[in-house]
Amino acid sequence: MMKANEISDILEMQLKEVDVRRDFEEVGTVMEVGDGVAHVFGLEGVQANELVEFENGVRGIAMNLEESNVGVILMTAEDRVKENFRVKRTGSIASIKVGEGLLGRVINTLGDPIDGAGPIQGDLIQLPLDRKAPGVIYRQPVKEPLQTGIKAVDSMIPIGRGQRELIIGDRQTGKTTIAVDTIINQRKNFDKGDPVYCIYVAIGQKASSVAMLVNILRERGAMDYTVVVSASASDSAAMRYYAPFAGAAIGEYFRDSGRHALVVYDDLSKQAVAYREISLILRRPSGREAYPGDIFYLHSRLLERAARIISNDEVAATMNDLPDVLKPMVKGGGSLTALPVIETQAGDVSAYIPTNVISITDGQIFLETGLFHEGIRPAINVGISVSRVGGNAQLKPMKKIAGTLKIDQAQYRELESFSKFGGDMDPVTAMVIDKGRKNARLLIQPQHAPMLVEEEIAVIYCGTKGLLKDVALARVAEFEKFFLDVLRSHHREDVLMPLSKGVLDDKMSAVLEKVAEDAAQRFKE
Amino acid sequence: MDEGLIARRYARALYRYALEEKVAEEVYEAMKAFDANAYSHPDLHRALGNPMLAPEKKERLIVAAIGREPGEALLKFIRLLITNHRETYMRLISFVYQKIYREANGIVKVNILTAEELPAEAMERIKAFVKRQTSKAIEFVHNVDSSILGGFILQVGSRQLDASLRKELKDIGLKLLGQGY
Ligand SMILES: Nc1ncnc2c1ncn2[C@@H]1O[C@H](COP(=O)(O)OP(=O)(O)OP(=O)(O)O)[C@@H](O)[C@H]1O
Ligand SMILES: [Mg+2]
Repeated sequence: MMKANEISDILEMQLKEVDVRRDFEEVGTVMEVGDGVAHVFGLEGVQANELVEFENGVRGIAMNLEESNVGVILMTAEDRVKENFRVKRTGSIASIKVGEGLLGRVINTLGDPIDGAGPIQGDLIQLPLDRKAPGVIYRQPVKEPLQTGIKAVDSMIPIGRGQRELIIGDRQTGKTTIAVDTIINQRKNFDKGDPVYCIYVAIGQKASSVAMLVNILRERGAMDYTVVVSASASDSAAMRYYAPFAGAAIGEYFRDSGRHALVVYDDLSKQAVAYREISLILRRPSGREAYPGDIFYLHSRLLERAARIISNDEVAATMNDLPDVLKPMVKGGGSLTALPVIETQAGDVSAYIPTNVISITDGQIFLETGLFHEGIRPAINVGISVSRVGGNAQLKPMKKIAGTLKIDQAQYRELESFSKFGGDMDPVTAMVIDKGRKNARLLIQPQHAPMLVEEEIAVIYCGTKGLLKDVALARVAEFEKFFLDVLRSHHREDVLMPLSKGVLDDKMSAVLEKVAEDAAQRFKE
Repeated sequence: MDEGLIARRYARALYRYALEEKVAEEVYEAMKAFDANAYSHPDLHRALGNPMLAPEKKERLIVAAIGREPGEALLKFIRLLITNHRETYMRLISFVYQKIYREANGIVKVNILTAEELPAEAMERIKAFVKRQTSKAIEFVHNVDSSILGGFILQVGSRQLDASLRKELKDIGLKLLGQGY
C-alpha cells in the first residue's frame, strides 16, 4: 500500500502531464441490470454500436441511445455487472479480429475460438462488425458464376458472385443442405488455387447440430477454406444478434483484398428473434409480429454488404467506409456472395420477416415440404424460385440448354396437377408430362454430392433434348450414372473438358446424343 | 418507449415547480441524498417496483431514502409519481434533476476517488487543478476505494480521468498479452 504523501506526489506528477482532451473519458453510471442489458445514465457522446467498458473490465455494446438512458448489451458475464458500476466509452466500434488464421476454425461472435484447437494464429486485424455497404460506384454487375454443384440450382436458379440469394422454406426441407453443399463444391476452386472462401454463420442452432455440420465440412476437405461462426441457441441474444455481422466482417476481409468469398447466414429468422428479444429488454416499441420497426433496415444493411467490387484497384482503394487497417491490402475485383436462410411456418412467405428478406435479396430458392416428402430432393419449387441476376453469370452452354428448363418444369407441374382429375389426355400433354417427370427425376441429387459443372451440363442436355423418352421413370438415376461413367472414361478430352470451359459445338452435341441413346437402350424397363 | 424522455419530463416539471416555490436548492439537496442512499441500497429500486407494496409504503420508502424532511413541493411530486406508477423512475429522475440544476446554476460536480484518505494539501492541489479547467462553481466529493490500489480517478461532470494504479497495471498487462485495442 502507498503512503498518503506518495499519492499526492503521484497526483501532482500526473496532473501536470494530463492532456485534458485526450485523457478524460466519458463515463456513466449503471442504473439497472437485467436480462443481458445494462441501463446507463450518462455516456452522453456514445455512438451506436460503440464498445463501452464497465469498471470491472466487462465490455458491452451501446445500442439504445436515448438521452439520459443508454441501453448497453452485455455479450457475456452479465452477472458480473452491477448497479452503480461506472462505465466508460472506449471510442471503438464493436469489432472482430480477422485474418487467414480463421480458416479451418470454429469461432463465436467475438472471434474467440470454440473448437478447442488453441488461439487463432497469424496476423489479425480488427474489423468493425457493422459497416456501410460499398456504394454503387465501387461495385460492378454480377458476371461470374458461383457454382453450387447442385444441378437444379446451377441450371434454373443460377447464382453469381456478389449476389444475394435467399434459401427459404419450412423446417427440415433441406435449406442447410443447399448451403453446405455449395460450400463443399468450392473445394474445386481451392484445389485450382482460385479459392472462394466460405463463412458459415450458425445462428441459434443446437451446438450439436453445428458440431455435426463442421464434421461434414471437415470430412469433405471444406474446412481448408472455411470459417464457421457459431452463436448457438444457448448463447446470449446479443451473441446471436451480432453473429451475422461477424460473418459479414470476415467476408469483407476477403472481398476487399480482391478475393472471392461466400457467406451463409443460417438462419436470419433466428437472428430476428434474437433482435426481438433484445428490443423487448430495451423496452423499444415494437411493430408487426412484435418485431422492432427497424428490422427491415437491419437485414437490408447486412445483405447490402454482399457485393462484387469494381476491378479497378485505384477506384476500389477509395471505397467508402474502408477501415484503415484494410487500406494497405485493398484490391479490386473481389466479391462477397450471401446465402441468407429463412425458415417459414407452414410455407407462409407473406409473414413479416420472409417478405422483408425476399424484397431485399436478388432472388430465392424456395423449398417445399410436399416435394421433399415426394422424394424430390432438393425440394425446390421451381415455379416460385428465381435468380434475378445470376443468368448473366452462367456458362454459355448451360445458359443455352437450360434456358427453357425452368419454365418447362413449372408448366409440367401445373399440367400434372390437372391430369390428376382424370379424363383423356392428348398425346402432346402426355409427352410434356412424361418429359417433365423424367427431368424432375434427373434433377434429384443426393446431399453432399455436388457435381462438376461440365457434368451438370451434359446431364441437363439429355433432359432438355428429351433423350430420356425411352428410359423407364424408375431407372433415370441409373441412366444418369451410366451416362456420366461413359463420358468420364471415353470423352474427357473431347467433351467434358471443353464443356467446363464453356464450349459446346455440334460435334460435342453429337457425341452426347450418341452416348445418351446407347444408355437409354439399357434402361428401358 | 424512451425512458430517458419520461424521466426528463418529470425532472423538468419538478425543477420548474420547485423554482416557482423557491425550493429548487432544497430539492437538489434532497435528490443528492436520495441518490446516495439508492447507491448504497440497491434493494430500494426493487422494492419500488414491487406491485404488492402499498403506495403509502412506497412514499415512506422514498422519504426515508431522502433522509430528511422532503418539503411540501417534493412530497407532492413523489405522490404524483406514485399515482402515475412511475416510482421506479425516481432514481433516473434524481439524476436528471441534479443535471438540470447544475447546468442552470453553473455548477460542476467533481468526484475524486482514491485508494486511501487524502491529506488536505493534496486535496487542495486537485481542486486547484480542476478550477483551472473550468469557470464553473465546483461541488467536490471525495470517496475512498482501496480496489483502485493507488493513484486516483477524477470525475468532472460526465468525464473521468483514470490515473489509478489499477488501470496502469491493466494497461501494462494488456500490452504484454498483445491484446491492446
Ligand atoms: N438432397 C437431399 N437428398 C436427401 N436427403 C436430404 C437432401 N437434402 C437434405 N436432406 C435431408 O433432409 C434433412 C433436412 O435437411 P436440412 O437439415 O438441410 O434441412 P433444413 O431445412 O436446414 O432443416 P432445419 O429446419 O432443421 O434447419 C436432413 O436429414 C438431410 O440429411
Ligand atoms: Mg437448417
